[in-house]
Amino acid sequence: MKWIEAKVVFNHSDNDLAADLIADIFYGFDLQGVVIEDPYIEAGDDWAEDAIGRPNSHSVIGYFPKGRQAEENCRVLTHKLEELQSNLGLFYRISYKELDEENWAEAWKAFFWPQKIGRQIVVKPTWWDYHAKPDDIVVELDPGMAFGTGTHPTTALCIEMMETYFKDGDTFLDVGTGSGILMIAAAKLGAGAVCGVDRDEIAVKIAIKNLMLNKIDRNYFSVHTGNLLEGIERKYDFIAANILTHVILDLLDDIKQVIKKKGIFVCSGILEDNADLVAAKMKKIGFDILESRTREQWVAICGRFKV
Amino acid sequence: MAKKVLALIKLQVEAGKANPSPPIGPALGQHGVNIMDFCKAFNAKTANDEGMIIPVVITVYQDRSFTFITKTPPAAVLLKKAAKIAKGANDPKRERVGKVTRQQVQEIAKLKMVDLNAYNLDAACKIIEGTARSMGIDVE
Repeated sequence: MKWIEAKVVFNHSDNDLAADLIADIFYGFDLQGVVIEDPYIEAGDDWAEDAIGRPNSHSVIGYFPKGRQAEENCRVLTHKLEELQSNLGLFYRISYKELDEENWAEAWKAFFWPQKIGRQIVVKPTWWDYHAKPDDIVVELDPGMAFGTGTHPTTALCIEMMETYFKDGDTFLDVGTGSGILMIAAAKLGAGAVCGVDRDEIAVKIAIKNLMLNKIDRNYFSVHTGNLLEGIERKYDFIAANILTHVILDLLDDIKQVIKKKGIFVCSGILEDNADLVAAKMKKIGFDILESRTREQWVAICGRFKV
Repeated sequence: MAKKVLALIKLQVEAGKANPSPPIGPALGQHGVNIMDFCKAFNAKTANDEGMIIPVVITVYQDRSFTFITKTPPAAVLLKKAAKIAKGANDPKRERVGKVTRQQVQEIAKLKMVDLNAYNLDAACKIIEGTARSMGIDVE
């Protein structure tokens, strides 16, 4: 997919106000956000020798999907900026550039290396070689644009708890499976069967691709599109949910229907401030809290269903 | 040894709705930042501010790790919400598109105080009033 980058470089006696008003023009086109360039932005730490550094001028940058609507948006943008010029005395210059989504979707991959998570699991991006040690459990992964690379503390905490509490033969459900990383880890830790659900169709396709890449038998796993527990009809020994606090709280309302007696639930993606809230709700519906772990402000909680 | 900064990226993004599309994708991807990791962290932090535009400053380090801080929503966004209007005036010198009360201005100023270059609340209110005028919103 191609995009048009519209960059408005400007100068005004109140540059913060001008940035706000220019950004507001972009929001009129239903954009979900903009880039603000500020030459006076301060870094909290020292700049690296190869740093990009501060921009030279103030600017606001918006992006339109390439097409007829983008042309119309550019025309309206020019008109609105002319009005700001006459009403506020804003000086500005617009430049346009065409961008290919592939350029940024792939760029970060160069910095995603094989990484050991927990005691045994090694997440290996498909584009790197890795010489496995005898005890390594290697998860091959191309996360594409799905959540879950293993580098984020929320995923790492989940995997570590799975290594601790997962028992050979446990059936496994991953709510919000993203790249499928937790399903693959569960399969390689000896799960009886693995199931994943994600509301994002693209994530489901990526998860299936990654499961196949790891040679997980097609009859052994299922992944489908759905919201939370939608479409889940059986009970599981071990459930993981690496999502966000408010979604976990919603999930807990219905978890009894899908977790076996003495089943384990690991939830991650919880900011420290919200951990008590989640733990309290887990206890209220019948979980014994086995453990909670914190890393970089993120908390994962593991509980056993008493009922 | 402290990590060295490779880039500082300032964005405005809708709370709880960060995704790899622009502006996040191109802004972060070009510096080698794991886009999805940022989206997850941003959405978690802003989950309670649904519907708001949140400014965020992302510090990218040499090893491509990142930290970020969120700021208060832009004054223009808060004023539109207070005035219950979708957009500001095309010609704010002649066109009036809505109004806010002094109390609403004061509430916005209090919220924005931490990010504004103002010594006291009165000065912050004047900045917000200036933004309102520039949008064709009356303060009464």
